Amino acid sequence: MPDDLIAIVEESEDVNSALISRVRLEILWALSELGEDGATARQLKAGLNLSDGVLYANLKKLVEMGYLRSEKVTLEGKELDLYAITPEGLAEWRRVRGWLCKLLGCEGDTCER
Amino acid sequence: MDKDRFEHRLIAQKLVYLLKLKGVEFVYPFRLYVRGPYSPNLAREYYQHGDEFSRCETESTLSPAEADAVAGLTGLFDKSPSLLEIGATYGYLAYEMRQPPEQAYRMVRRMKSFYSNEQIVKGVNRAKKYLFVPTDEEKAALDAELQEWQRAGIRSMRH
Repeated sequence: MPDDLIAIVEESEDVNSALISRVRLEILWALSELGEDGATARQLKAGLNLSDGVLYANLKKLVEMGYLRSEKVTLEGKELDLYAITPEGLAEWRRVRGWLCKLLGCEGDTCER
Repeated sequence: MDKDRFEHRLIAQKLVYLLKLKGVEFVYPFRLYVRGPYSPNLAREYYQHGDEFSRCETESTLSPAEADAVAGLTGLFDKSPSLLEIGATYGYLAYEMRQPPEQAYRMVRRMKSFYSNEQIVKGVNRAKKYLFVPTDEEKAALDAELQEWQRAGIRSMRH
């Protein structure tokens, strides 16, 4: 049992539990350092090895939660869906990551990526 | 180049990365993301200096070798976003992560599966052509082979 039991339990109340899903965490992780540039749905699908159904269901949920924004972009004449993390999404991602690190007993408050 | 256009930002990221692999000095660290090789620091620069980015202006001047590297890259890839995305990803895997060529190729096919096989082959081949630097042994082997061909050509002309 880690020494910081109280901190882990207290901080868990601040963590959005709807985010604790492998796919949602992977999506936020993948977009967390891409800022405004974001990534297209097809880059996320191929890069994270997800099916269309799983990807779009989770992207939709993350947009509804206000953690991602989406826009249409054009690449070589094709219209694509681009997703980027919002400031709220980034703050939530950092909160969850810090909490998971504490839970897993990593060094410091956050792990190296 | 327009910082508000997704296509242009993608081209800038991949051009700078491939030039860096070729030996042109840049201060931007790159890592592999779902987009392929990408530098958040470079992204910050084109968002903060949109005017210079649009005019392709810089305070630095290129050395002749650097100018050659730029000319070679634009000649091969013709600023095609898809080929640059494929080529830069292959470059990262094969030259930065030192994956064997076959493994790097398979990984590019998986990571960029939304591009056709033809595009993948084209992008990978152009990256190889741009980045491949033969070793002294490879150069010697190539010379020996070419001399054989040359001798055979001369012999056939005599008959």
